[in-house]
Amino acid sequence: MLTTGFIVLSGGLLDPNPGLIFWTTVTFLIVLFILKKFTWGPMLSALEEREKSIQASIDRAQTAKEEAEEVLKKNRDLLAKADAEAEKIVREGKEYGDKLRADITEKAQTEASRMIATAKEEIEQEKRRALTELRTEVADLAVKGAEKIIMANLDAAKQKNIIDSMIKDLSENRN
Amino acid sequence: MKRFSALRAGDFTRIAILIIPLLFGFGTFANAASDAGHGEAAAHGEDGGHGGHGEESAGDVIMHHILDSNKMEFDPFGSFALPKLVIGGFDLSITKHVVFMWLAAIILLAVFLYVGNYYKRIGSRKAPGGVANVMEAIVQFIRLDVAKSNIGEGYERHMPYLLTVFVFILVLNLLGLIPYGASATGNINVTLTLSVFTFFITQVAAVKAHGIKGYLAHLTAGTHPALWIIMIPIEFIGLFTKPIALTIRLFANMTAGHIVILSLIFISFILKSFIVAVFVSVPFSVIIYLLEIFIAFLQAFIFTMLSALFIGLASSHDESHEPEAAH
Amino acid sequence: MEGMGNEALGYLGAGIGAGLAVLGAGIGIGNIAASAAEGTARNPEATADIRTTMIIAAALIEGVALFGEVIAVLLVLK
Repeated sequence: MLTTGFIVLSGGLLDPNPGLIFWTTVTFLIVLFILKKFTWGPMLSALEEREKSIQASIDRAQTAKEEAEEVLKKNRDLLAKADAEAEKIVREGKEYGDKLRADITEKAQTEASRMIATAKEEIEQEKRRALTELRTEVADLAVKGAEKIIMANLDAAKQKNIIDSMIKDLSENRN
Repeated sequence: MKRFSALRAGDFTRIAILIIPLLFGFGTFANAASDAGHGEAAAHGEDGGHGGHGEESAGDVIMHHILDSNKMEFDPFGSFALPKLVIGGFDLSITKHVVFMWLAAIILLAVFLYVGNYYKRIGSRKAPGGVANVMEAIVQFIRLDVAKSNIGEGYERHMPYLLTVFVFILVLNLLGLIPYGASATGNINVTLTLSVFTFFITQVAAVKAHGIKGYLAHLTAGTHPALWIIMIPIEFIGLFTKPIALTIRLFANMTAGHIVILSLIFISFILKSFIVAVFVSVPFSVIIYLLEIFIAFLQAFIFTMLSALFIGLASSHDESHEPEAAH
Repeated sequence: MEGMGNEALGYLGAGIGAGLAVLGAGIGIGNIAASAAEGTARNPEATADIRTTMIIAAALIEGVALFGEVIAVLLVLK
């Protein structure tokens, strides 16, 4: 059949052929050197460069991301601090306001009561002065009346008795 | 009508991809037909034994296609003889496989010099387009998956060799699949040369990494000195096993593939029937053809990967001795 | 088996040898494919790695099978 045919090797499949080996070597080496110089060199260096630049971009992006996160965190902290301070300021302000109000109210009250007291005192003084004046006038009037009456009822002895009793009354009143 | 209008661009591509190997099959068919024309008389004599009373049997024709020869043949258009050079007792004649190697070298140089130029011009700032993009995918694949993971650090020095060997073997394999083509990697001398290159590079890397004493120490594999007398020859032979395996793997894969394709096509000639041709021979040939394309890529990749692996093993900096990878 | 000369025995040996080599390769690659499928089923994330390993191992095993083929061919040559 077929197999008996093709197993017969007339020329031999495994012939060594030094000429062919020589030509193979020459051809392969020529191709190797030319390609190495003109193709693989630029290509491999370009590939490596690209890899490096991609890696560098990735690194840079990573660093930038980390920095951005830090800045964000810092901002948040600052914001929180500012909020706390604002709150504190407001609180203190309110307290101060309250205190101030209380102070003023107290002072006003004190002032008011003082003024009332002063007024009262003045009124008392005025009253006393008025009383004193009134007394003086009344005394004057009484004297004048007495004069007149005395003059009307002028009699030496009666007069002297009346005057003595008036003086006694006056000194008693005075005392 | 409805069926035809439903075909779109993608469908046409798929159909083309399916038909082109068929055409290749027919090409080889035509190729073989002319030879089988010679061997037709022998086909009758096929049953009587080998190489009976025809000019050539099918086996001879197949061998004719596989082996190297001094003539470039373009049956049925004719053939021309290649120059024979004999220099100093060495037969340096230019055979068919040499011509195909030169053709592969020219293709490689054309494509990759353009790509190299592209990279010199554009550099690394822009993403590449077109041919450079495809080649860059290949280069990156070998750089990362093959070289870096197998060799570890210091892999840049071996990159040019690995890349060159990969694309060289790939183009040589693929050239064997076109009509009138022959794959030079189907010749054991070619694969032997490439394996010898790998072998040299491996040993040089080992010596560079461990020094001469370390290199010799590896031959003894850290056993008791009493065992050295056994160990050294065994290790020495084991040193050559790997390149020989590389050689034979590549060579046998390519050759076996071609032989299978040719045999399947010749079945129909030997049995001299059209029905067999249409329903058995051509479909199977097409299937094996597609398999061969895959094997072309795969074998180039395996050769490169094993080279990288051996270089990595030889220049590894840890002193642990794992048993040599059986294959 | 008297009518068989050395050549015939050589061809016979080559045929049987080649067949056994292919048998071994078939079994080996079948095992690899089975393990690869199971590994992928257990761990779909590692599909790409498993696939690469599977292809490499398959190619290596085929290499071994082709050793056998080459020896068969040598046998026929002699």
